[in-house]
This record gives sequence, structure tokens and C-alpha cells, in this order.
Amino acid sequence: MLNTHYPQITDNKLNDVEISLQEPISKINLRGKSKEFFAKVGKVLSLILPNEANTSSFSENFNAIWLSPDEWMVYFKNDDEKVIFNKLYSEISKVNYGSVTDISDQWICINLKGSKIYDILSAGCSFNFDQFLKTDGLSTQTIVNHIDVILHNKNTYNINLFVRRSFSEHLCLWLNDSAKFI
Amino acid sequence: MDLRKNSQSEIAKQARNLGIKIYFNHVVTNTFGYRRINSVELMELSDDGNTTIGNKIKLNCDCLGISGGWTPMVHMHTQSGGKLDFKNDDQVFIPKEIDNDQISIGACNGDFDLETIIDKTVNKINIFLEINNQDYKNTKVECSIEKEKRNIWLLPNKIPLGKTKCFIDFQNDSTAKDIKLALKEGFRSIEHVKRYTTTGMATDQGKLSNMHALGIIADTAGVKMGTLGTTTFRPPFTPLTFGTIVGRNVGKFFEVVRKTSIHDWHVDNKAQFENVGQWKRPWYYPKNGETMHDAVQRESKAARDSAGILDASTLGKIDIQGTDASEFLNRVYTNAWSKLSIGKCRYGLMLNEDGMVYDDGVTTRLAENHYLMTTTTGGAANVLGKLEDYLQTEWPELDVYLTSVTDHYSTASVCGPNSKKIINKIFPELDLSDENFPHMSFKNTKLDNINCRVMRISFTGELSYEINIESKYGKSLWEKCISAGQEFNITPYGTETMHLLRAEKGFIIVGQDTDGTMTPSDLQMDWIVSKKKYDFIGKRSLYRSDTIREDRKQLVGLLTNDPKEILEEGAQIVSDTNTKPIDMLGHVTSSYFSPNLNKSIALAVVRSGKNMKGQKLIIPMENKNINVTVSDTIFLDKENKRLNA
Repeated sequence: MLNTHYPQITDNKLNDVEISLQEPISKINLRGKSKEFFAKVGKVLSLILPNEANTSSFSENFNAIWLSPDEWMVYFKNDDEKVIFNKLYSEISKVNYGSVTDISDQWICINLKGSKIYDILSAGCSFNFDQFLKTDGLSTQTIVNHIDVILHNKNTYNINLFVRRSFSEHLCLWLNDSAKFI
Repeated sequence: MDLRKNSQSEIAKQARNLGIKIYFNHVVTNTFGYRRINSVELMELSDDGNTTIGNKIKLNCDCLGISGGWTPMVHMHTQSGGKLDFKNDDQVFIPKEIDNDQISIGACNGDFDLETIIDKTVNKINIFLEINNQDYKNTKVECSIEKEKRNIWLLPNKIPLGKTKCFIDFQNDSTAKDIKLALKEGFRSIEHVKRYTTTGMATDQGKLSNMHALGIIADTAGVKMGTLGTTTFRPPFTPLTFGTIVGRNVGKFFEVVRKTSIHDWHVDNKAQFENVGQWKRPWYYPKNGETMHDAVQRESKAARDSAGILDASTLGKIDIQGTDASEFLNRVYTNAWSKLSIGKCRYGLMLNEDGMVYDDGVTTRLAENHYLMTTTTGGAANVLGKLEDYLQTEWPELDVYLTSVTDHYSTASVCGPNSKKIINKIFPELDLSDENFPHMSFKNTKLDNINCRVMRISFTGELSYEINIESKYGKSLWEKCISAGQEFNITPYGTETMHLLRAEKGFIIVGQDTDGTMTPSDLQMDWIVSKKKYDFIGKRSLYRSDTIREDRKQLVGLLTNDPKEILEEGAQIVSDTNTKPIDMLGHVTSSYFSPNLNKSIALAVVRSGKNMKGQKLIIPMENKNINVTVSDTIFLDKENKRLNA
């Protein structure tokens, strides 16, 4: 039996910053432009993809983050992750309405909670969080400590940070280290 | 010395009480000393401050301190877009009121005495925070106030400006003469004068020089101070230590590190790591105190004799979908892709627009309009960026979507004559016959109900399989391969052995055997350039007069006369050491001792190398000359029999 191994990220709480690994979470990259694409996504996910830059939309089960004018990342917790992916792939990729790619293991989701999370991020990120932290659902693709990340503002002082799996341990070590100094 | 005519301030009184003589209305006109100052020369100022009068006074000293007086720190204000007003009475710039969420109070607003500061601060805060009353209203303090003021931007001197150096910017050594010259040459904008003279452009960002420079410009141009504008006051206002800039990026945080999902296994098995891009890749796995050379020899032999396993997860992987995916690949790679069957893989070479080799890799056709491209480890991000750029700017008409999946898949590459037996043990239901599963093809399969993609591709020239699985299962899959391969003495090998094995087969590594100046033809890879395709990136450049020159540097093999002699990578290659200057023909790009051939082998780029097969050349080293013979680039298994062994 194959075992799963996730990056060694220990849940940590320090100086009012809570860092926790949120895996397993299914992630699917969606790309498309046609109205059929949007219709199919809506049908399968019961979700309208956000069309405004750096925003997100959500339904009971799914979150969709805007990545570019024709690209979104949908993430969700699901016991059978492949059912949704296969359905989307059949309804979109196979019929050439757009592209559906499983990226569940491409990104690692880390949740950051606490009143000081923006102090930590700002220590290694030039992004201005002023508006971001005030508006639930905003997202951004930026760089934290030289590492590409996607940030999703769930609600006040509660964000999901997506980082490529290979960088995740290094980034979390850095986040924990930075938390000592705020 | 004080250029003011008098002062009744507290500090002046105290100096007098201590018997310290103050030279009021005097300026320093000269300094003396060799390597260090030992005296200064003073002269009295005229009433208008334009000339010096009276006798020269010489004072011995070992230090000369200079004060420019108080200048409001308007940096925060200007950084937030605020403009400045010149306060003539005090000869200083102060913030112009702006309708913004900020107020300037205290010295940065041009208020230098405590009473005024408290008074104005209370009023401004009341207005800003809409407060009516507060405890500090009408606070009275008594303090010494400096009332006498005198400002001269350029001190007069008997020596003409051109004969002496009146430094304005002490860091960039720009002088008053430089500023006057800039104005003489027609520069008027303060921004232009600044850049022309470099005044204020050092690390202090004009903290010492800007006011004087502005004053001299105003005086010289005959305008009021500030009418020509000011430059933007910038940080760093207070010098920063390097530590402040570096922050916590020290020690283990100095460099970003990428790890594959199998990394922990490599650590547990004593791998030495090599940095490839940001990745930590296993370099070799020393056993029982082996040197790197010994470990690599053992790993290489094991891979050719039985089985080896490599963590190939770091290779870039790009998912390509869309109805124009085949056309897209046709434009990106030099060879043709339209006829690649579903389930098959093909090697591709990507060029820059200048026709030089940019990247390479194997691309697999997963479905009619769905491909998986692999790139070099170091080139992955750049290739994706470049391809996305082409799609958005050059080929917006193409229906193609790219998604990076480098981290999504973990890849274990099993090679060697026993690799088929090992793969068979792991995937017993998979038909591995050459008919069903030939070289350069792939199969989708499952392992413990987990999807796997097995590709029969080879970078070693051996029968070889690459298993791709979702990264969370990568380590577990790797352990399964090790376990299944135990009876065949499966040997994990690192990047050094991988380099050796591919060099035996003459396979290039982009970035090692190429340096951005090699065309496919230079690499003796003309076979991969389609003559039929209408276009692809770099095609036009391949037919330029320079790229078709016969005497370009071309990839060749080198064999040393002494088979035990290993060449140094980067070593220069010549044909004759007697003629001066020595004509350099090229250099060694890859060099190893091959345990499988029991001799030293090397790849090199040599001028007109294609036509030099069999020719004797020389590698001049510090203590000796090494004699080599130009050979074919393929040293082992030219017939590719081992691929199907």
C-alpha cells in the first residue's frame, strides 16, 4: 500500500500567529475563455468563476481563486478528489472547451491565523496588504521570502497560503523563524 | 568659528564661560596637512557675506567638524507625494500642507524651539483627530532659543573656484564648480543637474549636500531658492546596516531551498547534495567512506550492469492542452509533432530566436489535444514564462493552455538491463513487451489503486522506465522501487553518475555542453531540425551567414592518449603550442572516467570540429600538455542495442 507523505510542516502557534498545514486539499487548475467553459464549470461545481482580478468566489464545497483573465485555481476538501477532477476533465478538456489540470500536489495549502500574520508576511513581501486584509475573499499572487505564493483572504486575519510543494518546508521554516521576531 | 555675527544662545554663553574663543563672522578658507589635517585658515566675512576681509588666521587642529545647521526632515512627506515650500526666514524647506492622512509636526515642519513645537503639535493633533480639549493645551516651557541666523550656500574664498575644491557632496566628490559647470552647460532642471553631477546620489541620498547644491543652483541661476524645484528626498535617510537589509535571510535562510518529495530518503541514505537551480539534488551516495569518484564509478557500473534509480522529480513539467497544442509544439520545437501518436514520447530541442539551443526535453502525447512537456531542471520556470509569453503576444490565435505541474509529479527513473524485471515486479499487470510498450512510449497504470504514468524513455542509453506519480506518493513509490530492485542490487545514483552515463552516450546537457552560442548543427544534431516545417522559433536564424559558417565551434568527443588521464572541464584546446599567440580552438565541456569503457571520455566544442575526427589535439595544462584525439560524440552502444536489452 502506498503511503502519503506531506512536507514536514509542524503546526505552530507563536506570538499570535498560528501556522497549520491544511492537507490533503484537492486543487484543480482551470483555464478557458469560452462561454461553454464557464457554463460547464458552473454546472459541475455550482460556482461562478470570479472575473475580477485578485478576487475569489466560493460555494458550499468549493473555492475558486482568480489567477489570470483565463485561469483559476479551484480548491476543496473532498474524500474522493478524482471524481470532481474527472468530471471536469471530461466535460471541459476532452471536448476542447478549455483545460483542466490536477494540481493537488503542485501546491501545499498552509493556513495562517492571528493578528500578526501580516507583520510576518510583510517581513518578506513587498505587497501592500492594506486593502487585502480589509476585504474577505481577496486573493493575490505575490512573493514571500523570494518564493511565489498565492494568498487567499478567508476572513479577518485568516488566510490560506498556497506554496509550491518543493518550497513549502523552507517557507514554513522561515515563517516560524520570522514569527519569533514580531 | 561661526559665520553669524553674534549669538546669545545658551551654548554660546557656556562656551564663553569656559574660555573658549568663538570666531564670529569668520569662515574656514583653507586647510593644511598631509594625509591628515593639522591646521585650518580662517578669514573674516564681509558684511554682505560675499567676500572675505582682513588677515588670515591660522589655527592648529587635528579635526575639523562642520555643521550645516538644522534642516527639516521632510523625507516622509515627500515620499508620500507631498511638495515643499521654502521658508525664507529660516532658509529651509518645509512640507507644503496636503490633504492627506498625515501631518508634519515638530522639526520636520521647520519648528525648532520646544515651545512652538508643543503649541503647534497640540493644535494640529486637535484638528487632525477632531479633539476639542486636551491636557497639553497652553503648556509653557522655557528653553534657549537660537535667534541669530545666517546662511551662505557657497563660502567666499580668495582662491578662484577653479583652483580649489569646494566639495558639496562628500561621498561622490562633486564640487561647487561641477554644479556651476552644469548650469553653464544648460542644465536647468534640478533632476538633470543632480544626475549630471551625481550630487546627492550617494548612499546618504543628499543628506549632506542637497541643500547646498540647491542654494548654489539658485544663486547661480539668479532665482529664488526652491523655484527650480527639489529632488525627491529618499530613504535610506539614516544609514542601514547590511543586517537590516538581509533580515532573517541568514544561515539556513540565506538561500531558498527546493526539495523533492523523496528528499528525506536521500538524506537518510547519506546522499551528498548538489544545488541545481534552487533544488537540492542527490549528487552521489557515498558508501563506507567512498570518495565522490569511487561512488560515481560504482553507481555508473551498477546502472549499466544491473539497475540504477534516479530521482528525476526536479525536471520541469508543463501540462499543455488545447486544440492547437500540436501546432504550438511545432512552433516551439525544431522537429515535427503533428504525427506523434497518442501514447508516444518524443525528444525536442527548443531554440531562442537567435537560433541557439535554449532548452530540451521529452514531450509525451497524453491525448489528442493534451501533451506533457518536460524541460531541464534549471530552465523550467523560464521555459514556461517564455512559452506563455509567446502565446499571449505572438500567437494569441492558438487555442493552447499551459499549466506547470513540476511539483505535482514525483519521478523515479529506473534504468539498466534489469529495469524491466523490477518494473514488472511493481506493475505485474503491465505488459512490458517491446511490442506493447516500445521505447519512447508511455502507459497509464495504477499502483495500489493510485494513478501512475510509466514512460519508457532513457537519458542513459539503458533500457529505462520513468514512473510519474502524485508527489504525496513519491517517497512511498521510491521505496517500493528500492524494495523491488533489491534482488538486482538496484543502486540509487545521483546527478554526477547521470552526467557520466549520458556522456557515454553523447547526450548533451543544455547549459553544460551548450552556452547560448550553439546551434543544433553545432551540436551535430541536424537530424532534429525539420526541413519541412514552415516555421519554428529560431528557424530564420539558422540560415544566417554566421550560423552556417563551417568554422563554428562544434561538439566533438575527445579521447586522451593516456586512457587514465581525465581532462579538466573548461580546459582550452589547441592544435599547436609552438606558434605565438596560441590559437585557441575550443574547450572541454564534459569530462569523466568511464568505468564501463575503462577509459577517460570527454565532450568538447572545437572550431570546425565536425571535420576533425581522428585529428590529434593538445590540452595545455599548468604542468603538462595532454594529447587527445577527436572522436565521435557517442562512446558507448552506437547501435542503441542496450535500449532494448
